[in-house]
Amino acid sequence: MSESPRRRRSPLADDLVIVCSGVWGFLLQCLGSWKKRDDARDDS
Amino acid sequence: MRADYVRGIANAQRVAREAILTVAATVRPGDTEREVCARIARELELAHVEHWLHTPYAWWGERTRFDWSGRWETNALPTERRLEPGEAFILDVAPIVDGFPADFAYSDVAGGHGVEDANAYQELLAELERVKAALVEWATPRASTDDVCARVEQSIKGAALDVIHTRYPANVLGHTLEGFPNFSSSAPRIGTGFQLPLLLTYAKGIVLHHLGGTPYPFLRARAPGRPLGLYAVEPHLGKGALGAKFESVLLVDGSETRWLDPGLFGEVVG
Repeated sequence: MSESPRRRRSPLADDLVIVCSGVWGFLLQCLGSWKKRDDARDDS
Repeated sequence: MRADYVRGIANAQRVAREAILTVAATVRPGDTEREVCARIARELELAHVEHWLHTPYAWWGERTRFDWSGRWETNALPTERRLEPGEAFILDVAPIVDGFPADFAYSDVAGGHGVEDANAYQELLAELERVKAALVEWATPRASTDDVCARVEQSIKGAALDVIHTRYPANVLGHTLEGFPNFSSSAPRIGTGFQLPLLLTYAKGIVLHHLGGTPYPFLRARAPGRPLGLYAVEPHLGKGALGAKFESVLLVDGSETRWLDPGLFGEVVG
């Protein structure tokens, strides 16, 4: 049941994409949630 | 020590579940996603929650399928869309309670749906129940994470349903709940959606996996290694305009695999 060494680590390129995409998504989400809050304030 | 950690996670999951189920019982056609998320947040504030992996999400109708184009993080934020009679809805929240993270999701249909939709929705719930029961057999310390994810996908596709959880960021079926509290657990809330404790914990987990060979923090296709520890697992499936998921905590250790809440949306037994 032992794994080959190559399978002990996740593909680095996949994980770089996950981390960079996560940070970028978080920044966009912050902008999006602030914009929605402003829109809601304008509507009320 | 370990038993205390599991108890802490179970308690957090209990708090999250109670808040979601309390609000779910009040969800009515005409409610907006934002209104219902505010009600969930209010329930959790009453339980003294100040920190989050993610703030409440609510998805109505076709949005339960994540068929949107563009980024998940921005499209998933709660909107002013109003719930229509007969539409599916999903509520999902991940508070940090006394330093321990929870992640609970609940799916239902707004009252007054037609017979055809009711049958389709029952198919979704039946498959979620099948997957939940089977994961106890599949997710053992001897199984590879990649195989576990593949079996869940095969089961959903075998029931002629659509696999939705691969549309989450990082295409995850689940994510670890190990390693809390940590340096980021007390980070202040920033806006709505994913919060710093989630982003920083999993970024750190990925870095340590590559530098130090620590276990990979996600259950996802192509992930290395075998499941071990506590995971928030969230199979998500769909049919037609309907989507449904559960999110529960799975404990995988050397001698046993078990859900902290064995039923579908059922009580947390710890």
